[in-house]
Amino acid sequence: MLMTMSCPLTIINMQKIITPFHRVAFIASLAFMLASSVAMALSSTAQSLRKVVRQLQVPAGSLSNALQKLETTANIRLAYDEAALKKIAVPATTYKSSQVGDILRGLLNNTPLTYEERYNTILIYDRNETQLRSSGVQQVVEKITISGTVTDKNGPLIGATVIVKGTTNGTATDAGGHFTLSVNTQDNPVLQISMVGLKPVEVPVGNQRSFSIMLEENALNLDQLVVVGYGTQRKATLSGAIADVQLDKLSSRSLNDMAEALQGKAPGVIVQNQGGDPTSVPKVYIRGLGGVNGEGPLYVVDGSIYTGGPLNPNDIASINVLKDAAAAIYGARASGGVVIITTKKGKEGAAQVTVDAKIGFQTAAKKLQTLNAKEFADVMNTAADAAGIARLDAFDASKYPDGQITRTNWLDEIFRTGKIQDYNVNVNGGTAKAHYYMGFGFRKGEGILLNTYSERYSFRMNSDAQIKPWLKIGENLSYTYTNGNGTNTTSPYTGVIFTALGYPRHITPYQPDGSFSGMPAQYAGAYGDLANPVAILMRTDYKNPVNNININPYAEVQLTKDLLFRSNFAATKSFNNTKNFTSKVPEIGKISNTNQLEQNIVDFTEILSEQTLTYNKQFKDHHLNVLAGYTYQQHEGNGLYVYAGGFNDERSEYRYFNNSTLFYKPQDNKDKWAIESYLGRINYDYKSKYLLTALARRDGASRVAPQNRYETYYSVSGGWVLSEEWFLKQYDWLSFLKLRGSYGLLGNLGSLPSNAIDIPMQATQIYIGQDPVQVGGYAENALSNPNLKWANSRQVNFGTDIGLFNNSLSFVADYFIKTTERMLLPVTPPSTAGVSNDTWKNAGKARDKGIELGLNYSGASGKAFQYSVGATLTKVTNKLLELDEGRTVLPNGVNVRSTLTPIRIQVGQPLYSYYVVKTNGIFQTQDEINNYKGKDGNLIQPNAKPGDIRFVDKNGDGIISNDDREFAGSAYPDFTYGITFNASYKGFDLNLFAQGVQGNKLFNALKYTNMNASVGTNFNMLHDILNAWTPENTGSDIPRISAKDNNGNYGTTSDWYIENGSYLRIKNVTLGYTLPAALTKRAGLNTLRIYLTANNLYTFTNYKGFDPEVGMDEYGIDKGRYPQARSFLFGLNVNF
Amino acid sequence: MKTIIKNIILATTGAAMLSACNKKLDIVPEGSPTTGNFWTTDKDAISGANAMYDQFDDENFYGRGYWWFINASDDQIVGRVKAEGDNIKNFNRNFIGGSYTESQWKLRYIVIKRANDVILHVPSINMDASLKNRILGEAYFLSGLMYFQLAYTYGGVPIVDRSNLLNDKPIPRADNVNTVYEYVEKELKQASALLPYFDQLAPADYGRPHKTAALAFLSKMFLYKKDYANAEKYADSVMLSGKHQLLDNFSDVFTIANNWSKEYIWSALSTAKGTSGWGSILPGVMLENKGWGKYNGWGYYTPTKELYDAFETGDLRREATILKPGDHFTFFGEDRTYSSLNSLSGYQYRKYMEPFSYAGAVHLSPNGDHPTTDLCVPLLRYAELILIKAEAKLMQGKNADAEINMIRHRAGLANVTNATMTELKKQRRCELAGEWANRHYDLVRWGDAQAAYAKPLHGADGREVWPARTFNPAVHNVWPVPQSEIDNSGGVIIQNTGW
Repeated sequence: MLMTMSCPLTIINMQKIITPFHRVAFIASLAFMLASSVAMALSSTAQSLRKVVRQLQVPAGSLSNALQKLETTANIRLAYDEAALKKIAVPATTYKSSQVGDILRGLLNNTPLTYEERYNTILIYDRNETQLRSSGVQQVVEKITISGTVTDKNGPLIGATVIVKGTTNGTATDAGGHFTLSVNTQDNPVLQISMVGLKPVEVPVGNQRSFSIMLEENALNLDQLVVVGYGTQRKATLSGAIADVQLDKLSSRSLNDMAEALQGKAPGVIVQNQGGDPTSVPKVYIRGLGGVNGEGPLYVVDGSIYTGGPLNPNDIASINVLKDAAAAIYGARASGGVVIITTKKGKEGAAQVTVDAKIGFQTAAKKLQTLNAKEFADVMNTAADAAGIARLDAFDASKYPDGQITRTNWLDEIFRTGKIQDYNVNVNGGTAKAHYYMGFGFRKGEGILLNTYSERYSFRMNSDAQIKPWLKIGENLSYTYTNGNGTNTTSPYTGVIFTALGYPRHITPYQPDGSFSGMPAQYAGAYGDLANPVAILMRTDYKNPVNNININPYAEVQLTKDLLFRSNFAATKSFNNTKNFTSKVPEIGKISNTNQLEQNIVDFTEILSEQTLTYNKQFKDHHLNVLAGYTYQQHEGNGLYVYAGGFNDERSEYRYFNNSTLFYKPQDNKDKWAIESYLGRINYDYKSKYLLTALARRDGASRVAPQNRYETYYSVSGGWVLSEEWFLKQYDWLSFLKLRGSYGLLGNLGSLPSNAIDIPMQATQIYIGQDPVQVGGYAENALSNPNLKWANSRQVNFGTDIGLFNNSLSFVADYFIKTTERMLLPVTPPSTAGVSNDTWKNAGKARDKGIELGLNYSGASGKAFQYSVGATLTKVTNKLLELDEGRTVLPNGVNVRSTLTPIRIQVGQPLYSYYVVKTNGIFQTQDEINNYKGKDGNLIQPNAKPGDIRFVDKNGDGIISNDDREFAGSAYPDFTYGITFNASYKGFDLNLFAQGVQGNKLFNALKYTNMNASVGTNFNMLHDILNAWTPENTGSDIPRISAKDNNGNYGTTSDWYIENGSYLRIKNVTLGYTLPAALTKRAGLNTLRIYLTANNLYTFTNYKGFDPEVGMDEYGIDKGRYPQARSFLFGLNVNF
Repeated sequence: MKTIIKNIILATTGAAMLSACNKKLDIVPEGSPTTGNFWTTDKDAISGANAMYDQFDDENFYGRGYWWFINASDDQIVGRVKAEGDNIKNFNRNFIGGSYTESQWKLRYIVIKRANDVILHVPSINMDASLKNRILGEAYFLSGLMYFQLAYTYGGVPIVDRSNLLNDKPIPRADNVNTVYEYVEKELKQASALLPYFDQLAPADYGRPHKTAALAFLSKMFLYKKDYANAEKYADSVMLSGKHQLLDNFSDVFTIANNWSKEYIWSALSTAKGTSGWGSILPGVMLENKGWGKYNGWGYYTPTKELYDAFETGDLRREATILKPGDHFTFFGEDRTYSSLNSLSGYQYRKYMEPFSYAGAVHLSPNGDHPTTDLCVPLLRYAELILIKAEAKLMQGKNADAEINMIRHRAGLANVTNATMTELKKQRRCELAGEWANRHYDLVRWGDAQAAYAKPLHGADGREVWPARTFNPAVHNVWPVPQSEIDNSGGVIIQNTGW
C-alpha cells in the first residue's frame, strides 16, 4: 500500500522524469488522505478518463510535456513510450472543465496514437503498431503468451508496467500483481518491468513462459513521500534530517518488538537490546543520550501520538525517523526524536489475503563453563591455604566425598531450546472510494531459559472512505494483548544465571521424590546463599497480561481546492493486571518461609485530539505548504496494588486471595496530566531547488506550575538542491545533490512525574506497641519544586543527500550537535533536608555530537539478478557539560554487591563513565612488590604477594585507594553500524543483515562473583579461574587464588573488570524462494514464497561474558544477563 | 495570499478556542495529602509523629550498616570474608563511597526532619494537651538522639535550624562536636520535660520515648562530652525515679518476654510480623551464615578470643554472651552443639539467639533477606546507665563500688572495693559486649584504641584471625563523612581531617 500511496503517479522510464511541481503540491496537500484521493481519481472502470479537469493550459511543445502536465493536473496515471511521443508536437490549447478522455482525444488528434484505461493506468500506444491485445491482427506467426507476477518486498504490485523492450507492446499488472502478455519470440524479446519508486528490471524472455519478478527500491527514491508530522513531504524537498528506515524483509524476521526493526537500519538511531529476556524491550536512542533522563523517542502511528501498546511488525508499512530540529513540530516531547510509523492500508481491488507463518526454535549461542565439583573443591582448598585459613570440611574429599562428584551442569539445566511461532494474516482490498486493511497476528516465543516466554496477539483494522467529494473519513483501530514471563538476570544476589554459575555441581536439580534439591544441610554454610536455579525458574508464577486498545478516527474536509481541514482523534485504553505468586522456598540455600500473592492493576486512558488545517499551493515556480493546528492530550492512570500472604496450600487452584491468612494494606494511586499545543509550519520551495521550512509549536502542560506552563519550540531548516543548478546539470553521473541545514529548539519533559511541583506526602507504616501492631503515618519525603520548567534541547544539523548514476548509488551524511540545557535532573538534596527522594530540578547541560552516514546501492540494473547493498554508520559522543551550581559530580548508587562502584557521572566526561583504578599487570616476584614504592619510600602495596594485581597509584600518595580512580570509557559505543545485502534471482531472494558496535566497554561483574575465592560466599566459579596466576603459570592476568583479598585484587573497583564489548553480529540471514507464477496461479494463488531465516547466526566479539548486548540500563554492568538467543525459522508466505 | 493566511489563523484560533480552556491544565494531584493541606487535626499530628519511626526498619539503621563501625572494636571481627567490611575494620578509606555505611548520615537526618516538622506544626493544632505533649516529646527525643549518634560518629555535624529551613541548600558543619552536644542537651531536656514515664504509656504505645529514656541519653551524652558531673546527675535522676531495676538473671535480659522489662530503657523495636518483619535485623546478621540450613543467617560479627578471655572465671555473662565450639544451645526447638561452618573466629554471639530457639520459626521474620526477630535489640538498658554513673563518679574521683558491684553481683562475681577505671572498663566490656553501647567508641574516648588495635585478634582455636591494625587517634577517632554528602553539598560539607 505504501508504494501506491506514496508514489507520484507516473510510470515508464522514470529515471528521466523529474516530477513537476504542481504534482508535488497536490500530493503534499493530501497529506493523510492520499490513499483515498488516489482511489477517488482512479477507478477500475475508466474512472480516470471521466475525471474532470477544471483547467489545463497546454503550452506549445512536445506531446510528452503536455501529457506530463495532464497527468499532474488530473492526478492520473499514464503509461507511454516517451521516446515515441517526443517527436510529436502539439499546439498551445486551453481545456476548461473537460473530462480527461476528451482532453486526450484532443491531444492525440492527428496522431497515430490511441489510449485505453487498464488497472488505473491509461496506456497510450500506436494503434498502427503491435496491439496490446493478442486478439489484434498480427503479421507475426510465432506468438506466445507469457505470464508472471511482479512483487516488491511487501508483496504483489498493482499497476506495474510490463513492456516488451523497444515496442509499445505492454500491459500493467492486476490487483494480484499478475500480468499476461503476448510476445513475438522471434525478436528475442526482453521484458521491461517498471514501477515508480522502484528500479526497473529487464528480463529476457527466452524459453521461459512464467515469470516471478521482484522489484527493488531505488537507492534514492526522491519521489517518495516522507511523513514529517501532521503532513508529508516529498523526499526531494526535505531539508530536515529524516531517516527512512529500510524495512528489508521485515515480515520474514520474527521480532519480539518493533524497535528491533530499527537496529542498524537507520543512521543516527542506536537500538540497544537490554539483554535477551523475552519480556525485555530494546532501548532506542536517537542521536545520543540527551542528557541524564534524556527522553526516549516519541512514537507517532498513522499521525497520532501513540502509547497504545506494541505494534505488530507485520502491520508496518513504513518507518520514518525525525532526528533533528524538524521534530520540533512535536515540541516538548520531541527532543529524543520522533519515530513515525505508518501502518498498512487497503488497496483498491478484490480482497487479497496474505498469510505468513513462521515456526522455528532458538537456543543459547554461548554458555560459560564452570568448575566441576572436584575442581571447585580443589580451588577452595587452594584459596584457604593461600589465605592461611582452615580448609572447610565440605571441600575435604575424605570428609565429604559426595562433594567431589559432578552431577549437574546447571547451565544445561536452566537453558533450553525455545520454540517460536509467528503467524500473520492480512486481508486488504477496497473499491475506488473505500479501502480496508485487516491484520491479525499471533506470536509466541519461548525464551531460552526455562519457563520464560512472551506472547502477543494483535489485531488491526484500518479503513477509509471518500463519502463525499469533499469529505473523507477513516479510522485506524488496533488491539493488542501481550503476556509473558521473564526472569531476573540483573541481580548479583538472586539473578538466575548468576545463581546457576555459582551453584555447586554435585547437587542435582531434583531429589528422587521429584522435589527440588537444596544445599546439603551439614555443609550449607560452605556454599553460596543461593536458591536452586531450576526451582527459581520453575516456581515462577507471574502473569502480566496487558491489553491495549487504540481507536483513531479521523475526518478530512477539502474546504477549497488548496485548503484541507483534518480532524484526528485517538483514544487509548490500556489494562494491565499483573498477578504474581511467590512460593515458599524450603530448600536449604535461600530458605523463605513465606508465600505471597500480589496483584497489581494498572490502567490508563489517553485521549488525543488534533485539529489541523493545511494550505497547499503552487504559484508558478513557488510552492507553499502551510500547516496550522491545535492539539490536546490528556492522560489518566490508576494503579491498585494488593498483596497477601500466609497461604496454607500452595497448589495453583488455591492461589487466590480467599485462601490467604495474612492481609496487608493495599496501595493505590492516580496519575493525571494534560498537555495542549498550538502548532504551525511553513514549507516553501522554489523549483524544488531552494527549500525552506520554518515551524513552531507552543506547548502547555499540567506537569509544571502555571507561571511556567507554556513554552514555544521552533525550528528552521533550509536546503539547496545543487544538482538542479545549470553548472551541475551537465554531469550525467551526478543525479542528485542536496545540502541541508537546520537549527531548532525542542523540549523535554523526560521522566518528570505528574506531581513534581506538588508532591504528595509519603504514606509510611511502622510497628509499635507492646505486641507490635502496624500503624500508619505521613511524611514529606521529597521536596516539591514549583519552579520546574522543561528541559531544552538545541539541535543543529548539517547534512547532504547525494544520488549518483541515476540514483542507483545514494549517500546521506549528517553532522549534528544536540545540546540539552536545563536538564531535568532528580537531584539528591543534602541529607540535612531530611528527605529520601530526589528533587526534580532544571540543572545542568549535556551535549551529544555525532556523524551519521548512510549508503545504498542498487546494483545490476536491468538484469534478472538484482541486488542492493545498504550500510549505516552512527558515531555519537556525549559529554556532561554542567551540573547545578557548585556540583561537579552527580552521585549514583550503582554498585556490584555493595562493593564495586564503577560508575561516575562527572562534568567534562561522558555520562555514566567507568571510574576505576587502573591495573598494571600482575606482580611476578616479591622484588617487584618491594620496588613498588611511593615518594616517601613506603611500599605502595604492602599487602601484595606475587600473583597479586599491581594497581596504578594515580595520585602518587603512596597508597592505593578510590582516589586513584581514572575514567575508562563507558558502555556507550564509539560507533555503531549495520550492513544489509539484498539479492534476488529468478524467484530466489536473499537478505543478509549484520549489525555491530565498536568501542563500548562492559563491566564483567561475574569476575567479582564467580572468579573470586575471597567473595566470602563460596560461589562456584568460572572455568577461567583454573588459569589463575601461580608461580608456574606467570603469564595469566587472573590474580592468584586466595580466600583473603588483602591486596584488594577483587575489592578494588579496577579496570581489571572492564572488557571490550565491541561486536559484529550476523543478525539476520533470510533465504526465500517464490514459486513460479504459472505454478501458483494453477493453485489459485497469487504468490507463494517459502523462506528460511536465522537470527543472531554468529557473533564476532572478544567479550568473555555470555553476550555483549547487555544494554545501558544496567550501565553495561553484566551480572549474568539473559543473553540474546540464536534462532532458526522456517516461513511460508502465501498471497491469494 | 494574505487573506488566506489570515483565514487560516482565524480558523485555527477558532478551533483552538472551541477546545482550549486553561482549566484543563490545572490538575491537582490526588491520592494522599500534600504538605499544603496536612497538619490540621490531631490525626495528622499522630500520623506525622508515626512517620518519624519508619527509618528504623532500614537494614542499615540498627542492623548491619552502623554496626560496621561498632565492629571496629577488639571484641569481634568480620565473621566471614567481606572485603568492604574488612576495609572499615582496618580504617582503610577504600570503603568511603561504598554502600554499607553511606546511608548512616542521611537516615538520621530524615528522622530529624520529620521531628522538626512535628515540632514546627503540632503546637498550633487544637488537640488534647497531654497527647500533644507526648508527641512533641517524642519529636524532641528522637531529634536529640539522632544528633547524639551523629555527633560521636562524625564529630561536628550540620544542625538544621528549625526557624530557618533551607530545604535543599547545604548546611555547613558545626564547629566542633560540643556544639552538637549542646544542641542535644536542649532537645533531650525538652523531651524529658514533655514525656510521660514509661509506666504512664498505654501498652499500645510501648516503643515510644518516655521520660527516663530522655534522661538516660542525656546522661550518656554528658559522659561522652566528659561533663561527668552532669552525667552523674542525669544518671541519678533515672535511678532515683524508681522506674527501673536490673533483672535477676543476666541471660533473661535478651528474651522476647523481657522486651519491656524494668531493665528496658530504649531499644530498637523489632517484630517478625508482616511480610518481612520490621525493626532491627542484628540477630539475623549475627547468626551463623545460613543458620545451619534452618534460616538465612548472615554470619557477620563474630566474637574474638580476646573478648572471651576478658571475662573473669565464674562470670555468668560469658556463656550467655558467646557460643564456643562444643557449647549446647537450643535451635529451632532442638538441642544443638555449636560448631561453625563459616565463622572466621570460630565463635558466635549468643546474646540474641533466643528468638531462634523456638520450633517453627515463630519469632522470625519470614524473609531471610530481612531477618528481624521478635526480640527488641537494646540500645541503652539500665545496666549501662549504672555503668555510666559509675564511670562518671570514678572520673570525678568518687567511689563507684556500689554501682560496679550491682553489675558484678548479677554476673555472679564477688564484690570489689575501691574499683578503678580498669575494673569499670572491664565491666563495660563484659556487660555490654555485642551491644549498641559501642565498645569501639569506648576505646576511642578512653584513648585506648591505638594500643588495643595494635594487637592482632585471635579465634577460638587460638589462631590469629585478624592482624594488628594502625589506629591514628588524630584521624580515626571519628568516621569519614559519607562521600555522597560531600558531593551533594557542593563543597559545603568538609571531610574529616585525614580521611
